Amino acid sequence: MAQVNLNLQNQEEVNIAESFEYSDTFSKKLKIFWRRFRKHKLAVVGLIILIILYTSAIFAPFIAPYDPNGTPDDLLFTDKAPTFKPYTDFNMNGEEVVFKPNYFGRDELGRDVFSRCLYAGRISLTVGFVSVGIYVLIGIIWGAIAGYYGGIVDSIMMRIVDAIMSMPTMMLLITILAVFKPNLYNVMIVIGLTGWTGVARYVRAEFLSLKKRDFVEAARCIGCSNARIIFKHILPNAMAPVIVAATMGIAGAILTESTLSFFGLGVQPPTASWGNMLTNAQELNTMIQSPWKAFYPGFLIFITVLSFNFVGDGLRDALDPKLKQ
Amino acid sequence: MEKLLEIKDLKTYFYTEDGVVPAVDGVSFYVKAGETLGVVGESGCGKSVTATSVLRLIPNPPGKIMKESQITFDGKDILKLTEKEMRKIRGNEISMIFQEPMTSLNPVYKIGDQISEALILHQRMSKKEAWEKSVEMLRLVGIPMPEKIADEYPHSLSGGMRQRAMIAIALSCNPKLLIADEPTTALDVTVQAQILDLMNELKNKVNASIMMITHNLGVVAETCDRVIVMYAGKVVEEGDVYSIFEDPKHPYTIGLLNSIPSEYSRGKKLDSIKGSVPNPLNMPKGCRFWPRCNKAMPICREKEPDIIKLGEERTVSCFLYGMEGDAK
Amino acid sequence: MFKYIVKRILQAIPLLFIITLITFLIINLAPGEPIYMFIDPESAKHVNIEVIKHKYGLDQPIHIRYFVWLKGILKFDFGISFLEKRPVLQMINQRLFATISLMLVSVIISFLIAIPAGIVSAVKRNSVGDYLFSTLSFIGVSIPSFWFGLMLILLFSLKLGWLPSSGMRENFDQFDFVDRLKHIILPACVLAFGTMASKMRYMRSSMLEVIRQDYIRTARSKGLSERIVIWKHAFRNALLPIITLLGMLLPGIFGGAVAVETVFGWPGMGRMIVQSTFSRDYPVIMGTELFSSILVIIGSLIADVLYAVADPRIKYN
Ligand SMILES: Nc1ncnc2c1ncn2[C@@H]1O[C@H](COP(=O)(O)OP(=O)(O)O)[C@@H](O)[C@H]1O
Ligand SMILES: [Mg+2]
Repeated sequence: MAQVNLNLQNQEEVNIAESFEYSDTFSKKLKIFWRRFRKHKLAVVGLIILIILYTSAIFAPFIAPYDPNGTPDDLLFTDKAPTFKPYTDFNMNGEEVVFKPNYFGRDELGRDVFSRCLYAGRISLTVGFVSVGIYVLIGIIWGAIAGYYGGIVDSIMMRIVDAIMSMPTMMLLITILAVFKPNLYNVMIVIGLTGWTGVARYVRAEFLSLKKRDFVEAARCIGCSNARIIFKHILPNAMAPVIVAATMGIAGAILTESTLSFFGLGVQPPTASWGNMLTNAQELNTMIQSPWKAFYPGFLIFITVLSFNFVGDGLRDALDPKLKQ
Repeated sequence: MEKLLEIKDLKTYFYTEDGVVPAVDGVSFYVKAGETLGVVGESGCGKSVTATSVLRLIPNPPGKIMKESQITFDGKDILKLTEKEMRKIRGNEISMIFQEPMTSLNPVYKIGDQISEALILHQRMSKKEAWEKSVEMLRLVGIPMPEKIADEYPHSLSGGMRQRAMIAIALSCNPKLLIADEPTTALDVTVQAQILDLMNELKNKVNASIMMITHNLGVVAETCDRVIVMYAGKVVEEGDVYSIFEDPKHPYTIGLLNSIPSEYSRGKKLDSIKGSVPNPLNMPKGCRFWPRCNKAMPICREKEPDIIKLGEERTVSCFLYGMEGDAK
Repeated sequence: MFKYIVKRILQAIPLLFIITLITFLIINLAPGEPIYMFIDPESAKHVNIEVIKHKYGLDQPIHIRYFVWLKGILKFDFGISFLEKRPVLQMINQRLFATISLMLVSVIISFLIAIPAGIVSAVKRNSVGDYLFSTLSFIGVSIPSFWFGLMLILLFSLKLGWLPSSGMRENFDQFDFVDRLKHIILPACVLAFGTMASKMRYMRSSMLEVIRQDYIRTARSKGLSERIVIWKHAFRNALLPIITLLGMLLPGIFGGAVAVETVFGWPGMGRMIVQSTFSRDYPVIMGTELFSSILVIIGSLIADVLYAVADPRIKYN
């Protein structure tokens, strides 16, 4: 009996063709997708890490042992090295109480670095999605219009893309944020406004190649409107590279946000973000006396960005093996 | 005449993601010293793979020459040589001309350097001697202003000129065997004739054996002494040019001959072989040609035909000739 | 080839034009009076705004203002710093050498590592080395360079004491090569590590493309050894397109330099732009941004021209 089951299962595996077809049902596509994604070990590890990070960011209030912005008590324990055991000490009122462990130590204001990292994660992990959401939207619209209409429209639109691409993005971001006000919302918007060029190029290239294909010609023949052709017929087919670019874009956006916050041009204290937690670490004294303040937030940025990049790579393998070389 | 190259049961398989491609599957033939052997067949039948196997240049992975294969060249067992010994043969004793003259020369090196390279390597010439010899070779293959062309990059040359340069590279070390893999297919008709004339002329001059791979029977008629016909990785017929053209045995050869315009077919309707080359991943059982064969019998679907000797240097692999008293 | 170069220069002109337009729009869409982009808000308290507006032509329509501003840029007038009261261009000029030398050293380091690594990955595809290099390149693009810099300072300067943690030189009196080298090595490595990944991947795919080519088969059929086939015949062909990659990577290198210069106290343009944001020294910020964009365009122009010179194929097309 077991034997028979096994064979049936194998048969099913065989039946799932190795490539997506236009006509495949969604659940079949999903099955093929997952089977390919699973093969990329690092992508799976990345996905698990991201799930853990997001879960702990969402449940930060329940996990964090301390108030991320500090209490009067905390001021007594500035720059305390990491401890993994609860300890007894005096609080503001001179009473002896038990303090919870400071896994990542305390910072210059005595705030618990671990709790701050948890709350800061909410910001970094949101920034990625919001700013990439903005730029995918702009990129798709821009690329779709350029690729669909072609000709002079295309040339002008792509020259603008080239120009933005040849501006050093970091300098551009600094300039815009210095002129406008540096804060979380502006950072997200500005990253969104400067990052769309890559997506626009992908979408345009896909459009140029797809619009000559049969099913688009057919749609045009039966009198579909331009907008309908773009959104119903071409766009779904151009999505694979966009999803991959977006995933890697989240990684880049998190990196950019943390760099800007590190410069003091992003999320403003006392709100914690992984980037601005490192601003003070620039001073050599900090580095010598309390290196944990510099280590953990940066390490979290690194792990998050790395995970997104691995997941993006896995998505590329799974969605469009042709892209892989 | 002695056999310069002898291939026995050559099997070259490609292990691709989709499955095993038996590109060459049990091919046996030989090339005698001083002769020109034609290898014909539709594209995809394994001609290039056979030729590249002789030089052991099959990309691995995915390709692999199977153990039971045997290639003997000039008394040496090619498949048992070390890589280093093999390199001494390539370009020196056996050299090859490829189908694609436009892309077969390295775009970033001068023509003269590309010819010199083999001379410096195999004949231990100095750079200067090699360069002079290169110019001489270019003159030999009929390139005008050889001194100037040697100093040029491939991109300034036309396809025909590049193929001449390739021939110059191939012949520079006086090889015993020249493998020409569709040397004229990519060229204009007029240029094709020039290149074939050149090869005929040079063959007598340098006294090399030639393995002329082509899918063009006209080329065979013009240049070859003997012919083997390949279909789907197997040799289906072998014989001297005269008998192949006058008295083809295998239905595939007959089909091939009927599909070219010639004086014999003048006035008759030209027909081509129906159907197309089988998918190498999914070869038909039995004789590989039966789905397209107009004389297929039940046995053709069951068993692979043996190679039947019809005479001195004349074989065919078909059940039509297997039965007693049916030969001829 | 001459035609190609001219064409390439002509292509750069609209790019420059669009870039000035974008920069101008940033200034003019800023909240509040655009006048504060030209004069220090502190000193503006004491004067009549209308007079100043007139003086800077701010009472004119936007398109006229753009051309007036553009004319200034074309005459290398990038404005006057609020803080230091001297021309922005002069300040940039002082910082240019530091930035360019940092970028140059980092580009050299990254190529020295990325090219062999990319080739090995391509030739020994799917080998342990290939996976190792690909994982390393993922780490390179994922590591925040400011944090990586801090960690290296922690290790090499503070714990081991081998290298200085910041600045460009200790000895101001004379040019000391070893001293310079000691100062540049950490920042250049951090900058190189971040930009190495794309070079490595590009080199790998370029090499994979090349080793499939017919002329590689020709080279092998001549009896050349694998070493010569790869490092002579394939190498040059695979390397040529990398030259143009440099042009594409320049904006990223500039961006990376901002973080690295800040962390290592490197006296370059990147550090200057970050510092100017604290004092809201707009002319310096904008001038640096515009100037670096122009440098990028010139850089990629040079890269493309070099490519045209190096590749014999271009000559005949
Ligand atoms: N590198 C390779 N990988 C997989 N299959 C190959 C490869 N090279 C050749 N083949 C297969 O070998 C068969 C014979 O090819 P080839 O010898 O080039 O034909 P031709 O007779 O036209 O020269 C083809 O079906 C082709 O698919
Ligand atoms: Mg062929």
